[in-house]
Amino acid sequence: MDTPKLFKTLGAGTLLEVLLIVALATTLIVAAQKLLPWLADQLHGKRRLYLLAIVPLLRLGILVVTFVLIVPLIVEPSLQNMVALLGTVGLALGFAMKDYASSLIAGIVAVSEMPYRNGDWIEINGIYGEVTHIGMRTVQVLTADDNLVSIPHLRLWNDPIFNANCGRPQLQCAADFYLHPVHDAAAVKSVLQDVALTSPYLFFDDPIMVVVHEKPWGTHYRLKAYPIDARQQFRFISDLTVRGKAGLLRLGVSFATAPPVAGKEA
Amino acid sequence: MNREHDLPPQKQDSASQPTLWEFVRLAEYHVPSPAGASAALEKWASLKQLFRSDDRDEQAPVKSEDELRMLSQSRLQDLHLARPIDWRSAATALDTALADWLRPDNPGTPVRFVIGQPHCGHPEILAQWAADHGASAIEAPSVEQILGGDEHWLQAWPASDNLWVLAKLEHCYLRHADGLGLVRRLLERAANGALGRGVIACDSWAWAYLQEVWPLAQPDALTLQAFDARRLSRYLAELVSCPGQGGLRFCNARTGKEVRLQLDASKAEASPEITHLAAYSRGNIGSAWTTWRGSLRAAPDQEQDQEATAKAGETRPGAKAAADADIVWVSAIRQEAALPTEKGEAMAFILHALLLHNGLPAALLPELLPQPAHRIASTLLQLQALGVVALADGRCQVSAPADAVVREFLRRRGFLKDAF
Repeated sequence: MDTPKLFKTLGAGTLLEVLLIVALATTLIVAAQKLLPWLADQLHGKRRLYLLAIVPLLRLGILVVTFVLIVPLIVEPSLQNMVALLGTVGLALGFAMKDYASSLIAGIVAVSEMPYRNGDWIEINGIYGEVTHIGMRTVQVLTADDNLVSIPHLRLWNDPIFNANCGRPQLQCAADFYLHPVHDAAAVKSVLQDVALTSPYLFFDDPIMVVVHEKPWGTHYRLKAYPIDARQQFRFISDLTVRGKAGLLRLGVSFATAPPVAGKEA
Repeated sequence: MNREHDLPPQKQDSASQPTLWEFVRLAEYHVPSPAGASAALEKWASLKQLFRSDDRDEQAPVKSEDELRMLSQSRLQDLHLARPIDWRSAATALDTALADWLRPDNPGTPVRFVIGQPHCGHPEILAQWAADHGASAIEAPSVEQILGGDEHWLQAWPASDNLWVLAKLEHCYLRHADGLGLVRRLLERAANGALGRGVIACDSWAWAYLQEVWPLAQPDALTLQAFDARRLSRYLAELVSCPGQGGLRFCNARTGKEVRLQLDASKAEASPEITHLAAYSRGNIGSAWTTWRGSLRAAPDQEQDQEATAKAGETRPGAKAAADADIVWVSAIRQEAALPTEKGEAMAFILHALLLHNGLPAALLPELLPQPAHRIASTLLQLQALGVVALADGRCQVSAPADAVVREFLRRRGFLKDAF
């Protein structure tokens, strides 16, 4: 009885075909990764985010099609062969490259479940920034300090992922004010509402909120509002803080100051 | 706001002559929509602009746009396009709309609101209406009064039995943490009748913002009905239908086809150029009129001949020459102001602030925006140089030719916009 062959005999034509498919897939992926973000940058709001979110989906689709096209060219497409091949690959990945394989699978899950998309603002393990690229193994996050951080998709399994905008162009921002406890809280709330209402960054379709917490050392105010574009969040918070402080000073309230503690920064 | 195609068919198909100037409730304003093919072409052109910088039409035009010249001031004078729009007819239309409310026995709301789009002349209309009715015209408070929340301005209001008119509500507030108190008190007193009977006019962008500052449902607020293709065609026809303009023809410079202006708008459909202009200006007569005026062209020899004829006081010999002299070419290239290529945040904020206040003194912008004063000044100068911003009565305003471009620019970026 003949032993079934796993791989086909590769002729020059088949090799050329495989190379062509790989080259075409690579070109398409590179083109999609360059062209779509460029096109997205010409747009604003939801359209921009939709285009950015398509990139990893498109890449996954191209990879699946490439795999489906190439496998029958180099492997005899029988059930026995496929089981043997996938079993071998699975074993190798499972033992030798466990984390790498886990990240790859998490990458596929990330593309389908979308806990983060390109253009989202996420926080993983204390790292906060904008998702700029979702690769096969890692997600790249650009932080407010202009650091590009690569985080393995592996984190998806165990770590909480905070997504501030979930595919929306807007996200909630909060400016904090700490005031001496003796003051007219209603007047302060009113001033802070107007500070947000008069910020040129403000997005009007979402609400403005002022949350007040009484603390042993004073009163903590959180002014929450949404900027027009998530990328304006730090400028928006700065604008709220600067104009909020000015407005509160005009109102005559005092700011709370922490008492100095020996051996610690004030 | 409704689009024209949302109208019930019997209303759209009505062949009756539309009233040229008509005030309607805000919800009844119908934004003119372009013909289907025209809308698709617009979208296709904007998509092409993303990829192409040089967008030339392959079809040879009847008249080369480069050879045509803008109409001289004297020619514009001849065509009755040199003077600004006469708003007296609009004031009469407002009077008709307010007739019931004006009756002394009417127990309705003490204050009526009139909302006007930029360049639609609401201050002029209200001034005329106030003069017709002997109503007191209330001046907007000064910047110091607004920021200081000066009650004296409200206390100096006319006696409650006097009819009054506040023509520029948009100049009664500032988008500043201290700039909203006075207008809130004004709106509150006006709404509860403490100020007596009066009419308040407000720019549409400022109205959108003030609805956030002091939400006040005003279903009876009035606005000038959109100048759709029929109204616009009739308005332009009336402008040029004076004695001595009998043989005047407007022709599309690209196709050579006549752009027919219909005095009796119920007779035929408006020309595609007029339909397109009405849709482009979204029914804003000020913007449409400026765009129309800016699109008129004359051949160089034609202009010289007309000037010579006017000087000599005689007509040109030859039928062909006379026919040529009576043609005004309508440029197929839209004469809209171009925004700078570098469209930064500062520019968007400046344009939005100018629209929300219907113009601001340049010195006030640094008080309202987070950008440093020198950055604002340089951006403003750039916008002025490009014709996007113009100075009027000491205030920088978004110019009428740039109105549609700026509106679209801000809309795409998610800024608050008016309801038109």
